[in-house]
Amino acid sequence: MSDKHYRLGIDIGGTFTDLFVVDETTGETLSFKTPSVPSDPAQAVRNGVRILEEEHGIPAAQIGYFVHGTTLGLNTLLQRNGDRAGLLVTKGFRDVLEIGRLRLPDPTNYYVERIKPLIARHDVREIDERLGVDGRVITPLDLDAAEAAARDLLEAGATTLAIVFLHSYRNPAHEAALAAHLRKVFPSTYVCASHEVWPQQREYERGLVTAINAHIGDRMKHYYARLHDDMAEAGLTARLMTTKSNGGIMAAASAAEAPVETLLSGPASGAMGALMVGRSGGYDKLIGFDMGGTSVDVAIIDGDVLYSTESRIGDFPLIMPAVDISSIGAGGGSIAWLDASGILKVGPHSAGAMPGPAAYGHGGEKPTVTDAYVRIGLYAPDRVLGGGLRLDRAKAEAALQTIGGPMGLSTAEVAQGILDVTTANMFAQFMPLMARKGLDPRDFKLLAYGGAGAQHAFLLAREVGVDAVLVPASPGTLCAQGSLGADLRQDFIRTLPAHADAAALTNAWDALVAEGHAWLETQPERITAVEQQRSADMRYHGQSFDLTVPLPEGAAVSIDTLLTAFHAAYERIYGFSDPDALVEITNARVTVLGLIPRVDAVPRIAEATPGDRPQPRLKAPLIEDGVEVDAAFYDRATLKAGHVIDGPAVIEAPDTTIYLPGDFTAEVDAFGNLVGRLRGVTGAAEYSIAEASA
Amino acid sequence: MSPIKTSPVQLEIFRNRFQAIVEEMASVTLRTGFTVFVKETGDFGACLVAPTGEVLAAPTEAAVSLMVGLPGWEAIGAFDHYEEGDVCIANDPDTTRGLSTHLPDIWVWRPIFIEGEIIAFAFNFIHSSDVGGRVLGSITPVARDVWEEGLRIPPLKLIKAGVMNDDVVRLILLNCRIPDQNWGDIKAELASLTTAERRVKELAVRYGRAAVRDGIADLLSSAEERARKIIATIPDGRYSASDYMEIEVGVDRPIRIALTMEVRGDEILLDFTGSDLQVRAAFNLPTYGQPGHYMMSLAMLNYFRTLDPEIPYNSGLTRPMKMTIPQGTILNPDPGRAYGVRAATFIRVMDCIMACLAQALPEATPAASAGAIAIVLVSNMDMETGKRRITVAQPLTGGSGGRPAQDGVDGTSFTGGWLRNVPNEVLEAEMPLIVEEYGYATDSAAAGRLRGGAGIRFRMRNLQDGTALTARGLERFQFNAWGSHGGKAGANTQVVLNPGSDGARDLGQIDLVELKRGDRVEFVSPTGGGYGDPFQRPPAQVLADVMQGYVSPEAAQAFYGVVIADSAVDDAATEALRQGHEAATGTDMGAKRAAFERDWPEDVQAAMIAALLDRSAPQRDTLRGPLEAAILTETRAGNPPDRARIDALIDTLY
Repeated sequence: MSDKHYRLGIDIGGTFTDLFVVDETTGETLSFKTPSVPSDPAQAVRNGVRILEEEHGIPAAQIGYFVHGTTLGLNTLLQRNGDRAGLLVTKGFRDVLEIGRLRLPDPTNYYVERIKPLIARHDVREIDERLGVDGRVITPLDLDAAEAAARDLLEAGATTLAIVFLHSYRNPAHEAALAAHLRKVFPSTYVCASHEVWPQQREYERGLVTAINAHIGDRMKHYYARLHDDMAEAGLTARLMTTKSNGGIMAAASAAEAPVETLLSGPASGAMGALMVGRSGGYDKLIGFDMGGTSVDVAIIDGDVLYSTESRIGDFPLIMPAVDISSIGAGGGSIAWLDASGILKVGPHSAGAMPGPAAYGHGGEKPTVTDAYVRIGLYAPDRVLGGGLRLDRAKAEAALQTIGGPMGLSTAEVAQGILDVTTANMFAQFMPLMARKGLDPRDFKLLAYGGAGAQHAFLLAREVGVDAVLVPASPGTLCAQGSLGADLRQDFIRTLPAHADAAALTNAWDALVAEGHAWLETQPERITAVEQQRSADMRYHGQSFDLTVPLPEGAAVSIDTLLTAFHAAYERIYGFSDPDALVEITNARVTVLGLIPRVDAVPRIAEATPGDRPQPRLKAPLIEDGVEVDAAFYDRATLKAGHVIDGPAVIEAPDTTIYLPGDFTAEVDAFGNLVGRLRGVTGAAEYSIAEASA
Repeated sequence: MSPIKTSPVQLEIFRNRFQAIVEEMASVTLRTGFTVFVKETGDFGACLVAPTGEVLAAPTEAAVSLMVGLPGWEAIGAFDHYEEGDVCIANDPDTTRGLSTHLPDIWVWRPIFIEGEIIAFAFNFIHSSDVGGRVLGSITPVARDVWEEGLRIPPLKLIKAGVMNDDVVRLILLNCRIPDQNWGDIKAELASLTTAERRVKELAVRYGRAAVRDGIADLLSSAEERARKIIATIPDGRYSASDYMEIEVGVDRPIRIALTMEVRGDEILLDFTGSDLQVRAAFNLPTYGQPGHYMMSLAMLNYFRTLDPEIPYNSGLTRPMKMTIPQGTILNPDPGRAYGVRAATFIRVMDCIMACLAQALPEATPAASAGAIAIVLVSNMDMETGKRRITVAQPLTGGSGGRPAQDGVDGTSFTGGWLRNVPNEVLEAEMPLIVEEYGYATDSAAAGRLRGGAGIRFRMRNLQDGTALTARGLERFQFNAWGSHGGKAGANTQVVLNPGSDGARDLGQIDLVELKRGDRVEFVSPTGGGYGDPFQRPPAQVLADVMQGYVSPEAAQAFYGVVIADSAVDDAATEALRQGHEAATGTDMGAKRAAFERDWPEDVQAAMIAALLDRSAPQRDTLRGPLEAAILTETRAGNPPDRARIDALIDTLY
């Protein structure tokens, strides 16, 4: 037995840093939260490791595997307080970041603002060079002039440099030559070129990820260096791995080079955790529902985690493959208000963390969704939340009264109205996003996580036709847990020339697979196997929208197999296909995985003996669909595998509150997941008008 | 307004649910449509329509914002009977009386039955890349009547009780140059309608038929109520504005659009009397005088949404608007006219509404936007496949006007703000072109205390003989977007072949140009006006514009009175320049307008238009040219004719 038998997953969020530990030898797990330290993100990691040793007797030296995820890159981008980057761009394209894709965020609003580019116009210099679409040189690179331009930018105040040349995805020679030159001339300056970051055709989107990288790169590089030193000092000798937006992990050293790959790592790890929990319970179609203060993050698991090349981060589109996370603008802090006609609205404004909902007692006076939960009775009067917080019901009522008065409604009625409108808001955003993916919610179960997800998941489930909701055993630390189930993973792309044939595609695939294997060589973690997934972006001739089609697993590398897969995928998503039509292939893609030795990170819990029934800790009134009912309140820690609970009920845990409405029955499975099912539903029944009017 | 039966909570639930349905319809169309206009420029639409024909929900996130106000009743009323599973199709403006406004827009609609009752209709359109006619792409300004513009589809049942009418399909596809793409588009539209039907039925299951029916009526009423509340805040009064379109075909005199907006309490009357006669070119806007028509009301709808972003987005918003649109004018032409480029006319209508709002609400209304949306299209033969290919090069929409508290929007504006550009790397992959420049043009932004938005310069070099270039909708070569409160008027459009060479040539309002290998073409989009006296712009902001490259140091000095030396403001020199400056106020309509109206005083134009409208359409068409010549002669001689004199002139000519 190794003396380094613990695996540690850490997820650094804005408020809390979550730790999840698995003992490889016993399968025992441990999870807890410690406050984050925004001014020094590495500090929370050090604190966590100290708590592990002092309170749980797990010395740093016994940790053999360490994965960590951080929102540092994301927050730096969202707050735009990273480096002032300078941009060197092909002559004629100074405004590539300014213009973006031209469309206004809201074209109907006369006071709309264009999205402010990450690199200001005065920090852009045009460089004399030009390649053709086939990669041939039209205008040679003037290296001296380019160096002068870079010097000019640095002297004017830029601290990092981004290089974006047209068609560098086809021929990186000009970008590579300039990047190498600048790194030699300005050795302390962070320099990145677009073909290194993500070599895909589309100058704005490629330029944008390069600009992001230049904006956050230097800070991330220093952060990783600092963390590495701190860990060494604390006696933690495990190699530092970091989570990625694509649901995989990589060495921290790689992340310092391409921090843009970590931007969505938080929600991606949550999705990986959902996948892990789902697999343990035998569920392969899940909708991850992670509700926070201002929004709900939705992730889809359909056999595997769903990926997207059209993610958004704040104002910006992200074309690199990432776990498909959609954000719905409704959360526990969303503020309820009355519009000019006295219609009840919820959001998009949020009370945020400060002052937060009125019930927090931090000075918030506006009614929020959380205040509605409090008013309907989800929080027993004696309940103490994590961090010692008690919810103030009188303050919640006072806030609800501010809109109840004008509406002529009681606070209970207002609270019910707020929850109903919130559900409708979620519905309005959820259904189109499922449609865009060609998925029917009725085929899925909801998996609620994050602190707040389990309060609203059941309410949304029944509206969207989902008949079961799963709440994992540790919903509050699912991201940290998920990071322990991730593999080394890297994506590669090559844009193909027009009229690409089968040979062009397979050649590109071969080259990308070779690149992938070379990448794995740079990753220090031991792996059990290597996998590569080939896919291609395809479309019918004449369409201008691509579908990414994976070569079916185990299939021979053949264009016919791929074509069949394309027609089938098209049929599935759009309801029709045209096997006789000409198909174009625009991009070859390869994802390379280095599989990490598996460890069971989803432990089983004690089983109930026959006849053993769960005991509520109290019974209290709860308002449900506007009617006061008697609800049972349970302490989740007392529940055992096999226990069955009928709604209406509230299940309390330190990291979440589960609201099980009256039309659901829940069962606790062997892994401590609570699985609530809509009673009287035998399957995805077709809707019938006759039933409805009966 | 009928009393609202639905509770304020349930109404918000219904608003959300219907919005979800139309956004989903738009998503389905966007993902499955074939035509380049769908993907690259978002030129498609979807909506749900109440049984009365009013739009009850329309998407706001994808698609064009031209849905609310469509006369659904005309389409619905085209058949006296519907069965479950019917889908109707049409593209013809005349037989749909303004539902479609030009032939490339292929509309489909489908009734949604709940327990035997039609509770709503789903509508969808896609701008097809080609529906036949005299040119590829079907739109040409020189079309003289609608028959030259392609295949006309009157309201027909494409699917009858679930059974496809293959005869109709064959007839349609045979008359298009790109039948495969069109069939793909139509299938995308059908998928969108199917989605809508399923979702509305689910809604009825959830809440019951009667509640949904009431909810639809109440959503329309609540939008109406909200619109009335906003209108009530606009000072009562009559506000007038007019502006011009520079049509180079079919007419000699620029086309006049005139509007008097009368605000009375919570109602608005838009009276377009005085607007110009219909033309024998493709600029006629077939509104059929429909109240609240979507092409006439967008500026007002945007205004409502600007002040009240949460306002329900449906045709209830158009109920407080009354319109007078005399028949025989370019805004309500007789049947059979050509309509292809009617967007240019719609934009000028929007400009006139904004100009009236600027008088009524000077502190809330932006200066005029660029006033043109041009879509640059290129096409040529693909040497490998032997097929003709066509693609959007770039949309050119110009900058917006300066705004009461913000500079104008650079590079685009509110009329075409939904348009996406084309990645230049993708364009070069699809067409044998090199894009030499795509960016904001220095000194194109109109000067103002709040400056206008910058225009876009797009220059490309052609690499293959025979590449054809069209750019419909180019306008503002001579007239300018208005500056307000002392702001400067916007800049003009420029289109130059081989700029900087000996053979450089202004192309003007091009219909179709065939390029030789090596030819270069440069477009500079027009821009919106400035807001406020530029000499009152804080020097630090002028300096920032100079450092960012929006404004040259020379222009900073000439138009803003700010002297810049060594990347800093020369305070003393600036002070000296600004001291002698007389404060600029009022509206700057540009130099061309004043010159033009010396030849054509507004009252003379109005009298002539009124006189000709009293005649039959053929008389108008034949008399117009000689009458204009006669009037111009008299005006230039110092005797601008009045109505009586014009009637006398007509009698002489007739």
